[in-house]
Amino acid sequence: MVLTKEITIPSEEELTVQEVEISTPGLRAASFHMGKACENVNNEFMLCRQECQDPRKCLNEGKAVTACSLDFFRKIKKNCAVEFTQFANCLDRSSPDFSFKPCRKTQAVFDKCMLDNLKIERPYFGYFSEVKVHHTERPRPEVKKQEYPDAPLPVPDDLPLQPAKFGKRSL
Amino acid sequence: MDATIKQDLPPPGGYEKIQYARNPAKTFFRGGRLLAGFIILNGCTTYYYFNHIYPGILHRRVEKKGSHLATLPLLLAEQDRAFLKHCRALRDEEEKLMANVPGWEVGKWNGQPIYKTLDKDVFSNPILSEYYCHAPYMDFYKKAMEEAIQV
Repeated sequence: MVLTKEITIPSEEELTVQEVEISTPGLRAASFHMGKACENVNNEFMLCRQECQDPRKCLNEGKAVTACSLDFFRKIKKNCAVEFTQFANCLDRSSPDFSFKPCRKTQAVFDKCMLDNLKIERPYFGYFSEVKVHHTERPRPEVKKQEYPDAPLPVPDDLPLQPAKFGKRSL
Repeated sequence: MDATIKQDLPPPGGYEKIQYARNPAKTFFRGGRLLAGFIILNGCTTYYYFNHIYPGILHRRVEKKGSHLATLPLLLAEQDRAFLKHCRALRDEEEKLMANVPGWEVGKWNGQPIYKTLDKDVFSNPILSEYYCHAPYMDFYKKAMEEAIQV
């Protein structure tokens, strides 16, 4: 395998946190509000993941994402459990692909509950498809430029041209 | 010879002419009209589709994409942790498996790493067959098919 002994891989304990154990309908039902509530943490994690391209370097950001989502789902369970379950059930049973269209009524009930109890408004249409600029404290990771020790030297500009062998230089 | 015998002859003025040319019924949809009808029908349906049906499709698509993008960080964080856990388990398993082979170094072949130009602590993803090397073959096969479809 590629992974040698020199490569540090975090241990089992470092990687074990309380995961969000929820099925797809529940995740879909709460996705918009969750994305809005944990937006900063999520953007931080995705920026880190995109910049580093290494799962080991963004573990803390990832843990923060999971903790935020878990906290959010606990809040839902406390305040809007019935509405949430209703909406998730509707998403699960109305279409084969969890589409939102057949569930506008239950969605409206859930949205109202979220707005009243948790003060989280449903983001407007297309909010998560927009390009966002994220300001972060984390320093930019250094991009190492690849150096080739046996690369040929570049040709100097003032290299004297030799006379053309066959009459024309273009030949 | 009897003069009353009558010979069978054509009627006076000759037989009627045999009609052999094709005489098709007149149709309404011919050439230009058919083409015009085609263009009008297609134009109308295209206009209707792009002004009344497609916006709905696009709306639903963008909404679903937004939902996926909102949950992506959570799923990716969880996936990263599971991936690293499995990588560690694979490396430990290889060490245990090859303990009685003299001169075996984990992740190397005859003391040579796979990527020798990489720095010391650079993580490179194992290929799929290595990642699934201790798993049942059908699991690997399903994953490979999934990835092939996704690409």
